[in-house]
Amino acid sequence: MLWSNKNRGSMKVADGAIAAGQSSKSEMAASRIEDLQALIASESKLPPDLKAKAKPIFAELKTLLKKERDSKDWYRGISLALFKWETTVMDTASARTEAKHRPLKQIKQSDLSIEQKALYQSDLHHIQSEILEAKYKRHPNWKRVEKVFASAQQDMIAEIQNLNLPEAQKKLMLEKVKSVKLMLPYADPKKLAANASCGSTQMNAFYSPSHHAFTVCAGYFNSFQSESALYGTIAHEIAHAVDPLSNAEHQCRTESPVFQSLNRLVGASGPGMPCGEWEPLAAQVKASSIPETPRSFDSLQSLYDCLQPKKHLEAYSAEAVREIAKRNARVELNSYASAHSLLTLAQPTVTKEGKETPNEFFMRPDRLQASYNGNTFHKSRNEDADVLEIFTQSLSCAKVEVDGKTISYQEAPLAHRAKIFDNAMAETLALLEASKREWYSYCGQNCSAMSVERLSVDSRENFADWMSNKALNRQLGRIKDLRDRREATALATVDLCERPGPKNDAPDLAASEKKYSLESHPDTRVRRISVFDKKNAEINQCEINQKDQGFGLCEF
Amino acid sequence: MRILRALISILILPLPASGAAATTLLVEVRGHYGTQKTEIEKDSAGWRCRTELTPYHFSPVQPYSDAILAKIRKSNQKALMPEAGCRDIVTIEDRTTSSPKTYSGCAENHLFKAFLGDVNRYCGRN
Repeated sequence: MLWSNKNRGSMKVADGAIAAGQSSKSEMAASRIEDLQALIASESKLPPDLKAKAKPIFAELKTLLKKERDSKDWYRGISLALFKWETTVMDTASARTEAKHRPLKQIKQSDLSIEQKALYQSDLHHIQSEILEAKYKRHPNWKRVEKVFASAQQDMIAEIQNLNLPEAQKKLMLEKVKSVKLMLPYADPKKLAANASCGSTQMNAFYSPSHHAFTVCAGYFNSFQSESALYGTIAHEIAHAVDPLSNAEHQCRTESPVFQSLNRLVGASGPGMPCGEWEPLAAQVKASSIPETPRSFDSLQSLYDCLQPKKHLEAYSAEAVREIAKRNARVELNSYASAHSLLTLAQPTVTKEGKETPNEFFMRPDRLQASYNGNTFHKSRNEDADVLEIFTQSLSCAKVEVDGKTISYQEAPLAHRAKIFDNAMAETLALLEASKREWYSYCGQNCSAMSVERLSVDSRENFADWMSNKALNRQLGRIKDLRDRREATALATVDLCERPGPKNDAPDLAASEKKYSLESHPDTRVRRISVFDKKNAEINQCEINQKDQGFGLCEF
Repeated sequence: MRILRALISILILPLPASGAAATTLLVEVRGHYGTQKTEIEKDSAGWRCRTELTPYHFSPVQPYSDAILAKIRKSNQKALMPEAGCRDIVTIEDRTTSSPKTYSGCAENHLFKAFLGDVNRYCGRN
């Protein structure tokens, strides 16, 4: 049994190392302790301006770890040392910024412009990346991630070469798998944009389409010591580079005139193009239509249908897609309107401490995005135009008739601005709607956005599992001893073992409930049993239970 | 340095003179391979976070921003929902008001991102 309630998850694995579960001396998670030890050990590799300041804090942490015990005082000691460390890191980052840009020191925090805040943030990201590299770049647990990645990537390439696909699709898939990058879990959005805790304790792994890179979070690689579990996870993330939605995205961006027109606005630091160019493009986008049947460009569709049976779905119709696009566009615009984002872009001045001052966000979608993105300017060319960019362009070209004269927003007297603003909102809504229906016509029955309406079912997670299990069989096949192979197979799904509870007691109900939830992954039980496919049965010299197969037997 | 100090002065709240610990927020982040849970409490000794990593993490400052929480409360719940599949799903059970409410959505939504950034920083995950 891989999960034990007694020790809250600790598990023995074949190669001896254990990190999941709780420490025996306190209630601290073993992966947390591993992360603290990595931090302490990073001291000599830290940048010089941080090293000296780190010394006493790390010494304190080291002493505390030696005296580990289950007492509030001990936990409090660790908390305070970590808080001190956080403060030191932030102070050092600010000092770097102020050394490079001396005038910043004289400016009040509330008076800093978004570009000035971004300078501070950029140095903070930089120092956090340096710490992450000092902790993990040469850490044995990360080194193993790199080693497993190299082998999983080769196996995945071999698997794709074996697929009977049209040359063009195969070539694209191979290019994507060969070029995918493994990155440390950097929080810096320019590098990867991992969740803050991914570099320390989060139990996760993810592929980022906009960076075409993936990572394994420290909480994961410090917990699961089984090589096959790590292999399965890494292969799964690599497979996301070629999953059904990645393929649809590629197709949509390269061939859709709607996306090509709107994406000319990506990264704009104001209206992206002159109105003379924009107006005919916008009219074309609004007038665009979608085919009556889903587009067919992906030769793996029959596999996706097996991985996530489409039987329970409503029949696909362009009419239903248009309705959903309309509703979802309204919801998206609503989220920006609720945060007053559109108003923020439209006001030339704002009142600050009773005085009217220029609004730094006026017609600047890039600045507003940066403020939402933790004061970081970063828009990848792999991203699509967003509401802020579309709205800014629409507002800059929106006009109204006053006394027989056509006037624009910037020329309009206050009394007429509301009408122009309203027109720009309406145009943004129409363009958003067009881009959504276009996207849905590409992702079709694999979309996640239409799954609640039972028009689609997101098969990308099952696909990533299916591909990774295929690659895993190659890895398992290299293990000579049958007993070791079987053990490695069982351990490959160790991360999918869940604590017993109501959800696991009723897997059928959980699977049904899941269709209506926000979760993108299928239930873990199905994922676990799907590792047993025909090839796996052959390798392990066993038979597959015909009643309980998951999607492991799907073939292309 | 000044940024941090300013942040602390905004976040820090006067502590009650006495009283038992009260859970104010439950924050759950469902990731790819695991779920991270944080229970934020406040008592006369200050702010504490209970996570699956450690049952007692002391935070010298309020580990989340009231201003961001207020914006999450104000947002239309539907608007916070991820339209497409998302990497991490956040659920915040807000027990700071007399009738607890739950807000759920994608960790990549800018409001949740900012909220989680503070919780991760001050609740001992970094």
